[in-house]
Formats: sequence, structure tokens, C-alpha cells
Amino acid sequence: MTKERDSISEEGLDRAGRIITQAAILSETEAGEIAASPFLFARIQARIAAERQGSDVGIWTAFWSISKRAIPAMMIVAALSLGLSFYFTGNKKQPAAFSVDAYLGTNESGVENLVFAERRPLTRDEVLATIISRDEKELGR
Amino acid sequence: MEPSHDPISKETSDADLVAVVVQGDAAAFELLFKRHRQRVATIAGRFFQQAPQIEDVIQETFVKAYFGLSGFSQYKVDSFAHWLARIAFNSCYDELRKQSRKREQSFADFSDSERQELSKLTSNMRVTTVESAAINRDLAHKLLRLLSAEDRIVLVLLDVEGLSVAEIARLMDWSSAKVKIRAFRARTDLRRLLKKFL
Repeated sequence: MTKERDSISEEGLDRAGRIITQAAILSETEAGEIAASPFLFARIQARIAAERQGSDVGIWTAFWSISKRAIPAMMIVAALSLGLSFYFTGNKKQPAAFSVDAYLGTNESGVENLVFAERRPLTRDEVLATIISRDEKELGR
Repeated sequence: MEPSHDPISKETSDADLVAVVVQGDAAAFELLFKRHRQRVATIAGRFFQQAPQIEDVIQETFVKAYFGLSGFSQYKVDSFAHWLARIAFNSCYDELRKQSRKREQSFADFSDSERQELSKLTSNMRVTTVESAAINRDLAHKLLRLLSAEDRIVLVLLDVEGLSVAEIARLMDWSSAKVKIRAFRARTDLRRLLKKFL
């Protein structure tokens, strides 16, 4: 019973809604009077002319407005990336090359250090000179 | 022998006039305007009361139509009148959406006499016609302004234009499911509004 009453009231509300929707419309005569307004077509023509003119300059205006924002932004990004690349390359230390001296712990001995630092095989003369100079030192003592 | 071009006359069909306008003849567009302005104004009058608003919709519709004429003459899926009506309804819909963004109307804006009038209408179940309801148009507008743009367009297309769901879907370029959902919501919203005056 309640359901029936609810559905009836909903139907009634829908009917009232339809009446309100139809009551809100303008009559054909009233609409016709507005449409016959003498300057309406002149306004439309002016608007068409303005839009046509606007579309011609529109591309350049759009390009200019985008450029005005894009160019400074791109400059900032470029400057930042340049700065960052300088910062990282400047601070970066070269990785130490493998050193036999460091590995063998022979840095304290002057002659050997010099020989190893040159990183070339010892010649026979150099070996001989080293032995002779060592012998001379010992004899001198 | 060269083909003869008939001068534009009242008998020239819409399709021929459109072809002439696309070729750059502005006078032909004026003839199209004169032929169809009444229908566009009637469509605008479904949603708006004030002359400046209706004139704006007419202007918007014909400007859009002018720039879309080449597309229309290429595809010709509808008659010109039907195609123009689609533009007009969509212009009304855009205008309603613009208005609903700045709408600040509420129930508090209804006077006691207006509330009484609406109460009388909603409580009288035997009311069947607009004449017997004799509701004030301003009041009807005031009430409908509380609805969303989608609700209003669907209600007008269903109850005033008498269009089917499929026709509304085609007109507004919506899916049938969207029209059905919108119609259901519109009726529910309007019922909810009217219940407040019971």
C-alpha cells in the first residue's frame, strides 16, 4: 500500500516536473521576435570577420606566447645541466692505478722505488750500476 | 557549353546555398540565416528567457555553422536543418554549463508565494496540462536553474522536443547508455527538488 502511494507520488512529481519543464519554454512568437532582431546578422558577420582575422594572426600569436615561456625555461635547464656537469667532472678524482710499490710495500727503499716508478724493465747496466754502487757504499763503511 | 549558374533565390535548396557559401558568397549565408533563425531561436527559447541570452546562442550557432560548412558539405550526413539544430542544442548546453559554474541560487531565493505555488502544483496529482497548472514561467525557470546543465538538456529533449533516447544520443553525440543514465538522474533530481516544496 505504502509502495503504491510512493509510486503514485513519484508519478505525480514526474508529471509536475514535465509541466514545469514545458512552462519554462518561450513561445514560438516570442522566439521569432528575438530572431528578427535587425542587427543580429550584422553581429554574426562581424564575429565571423573577427574570428577569421584572429585565426590568421593566431598561429604567430600562439608561437610567440609559447616561445616567451619556453626559451627562458630551456635556458635555465641548459645552465643547470652545464653547472652540474662541471661540478661533477671537477670534483671527480682519477682512480688510482694499480701500483706494485704499494702492493709490495717497497716505497721506503729509494732506489727500488725509483726503478719501479719508471715502470720499464731494468737494463743490465742499471742492475750492474746498482750492485757496484751498493758494493762501494759497503766498502766505504 | 558552360553550365549555367542560377542566381540565388528563395527556391534554392539549403545544400546548394551551402555549396555557394563554401565558394565564398556571403549573401547565400544571409539567406540560410533568414531561413533557419526562427528554429534556432525556438531551441534557445527552450532553455533561456532573456533576449540577450537567446541572441548570444543564435550568434554562436551561426558562427560555428559558418566555420563548419565545408565539413558539412563534404560529409552531408544530415539535412542542413538537422545539422544546425545539433549545433544549436550544443551551444545551449555550453551556455548552460557556463551559467551553472557561476550559479549561486538556492531554496532560500524562493519567496513564500513561490513556494506555495510550487506546493500547489506538486500536491495536485490530477494536473495534466500546462494550462491547467498555470505555473508562472519565471518560477519554472528559477526552479530549473537549480538543475545541472546535463539534467536540463535531457529533460527538454525528452519532455519538450519529444525525442527518443537514440535520437538524443545522436543529437548530443552521447552513448545511449549515457542518455538513459542522465535521464534517470534528471528525473530523480527534479523529484528531489519538488519534494522539498510538498
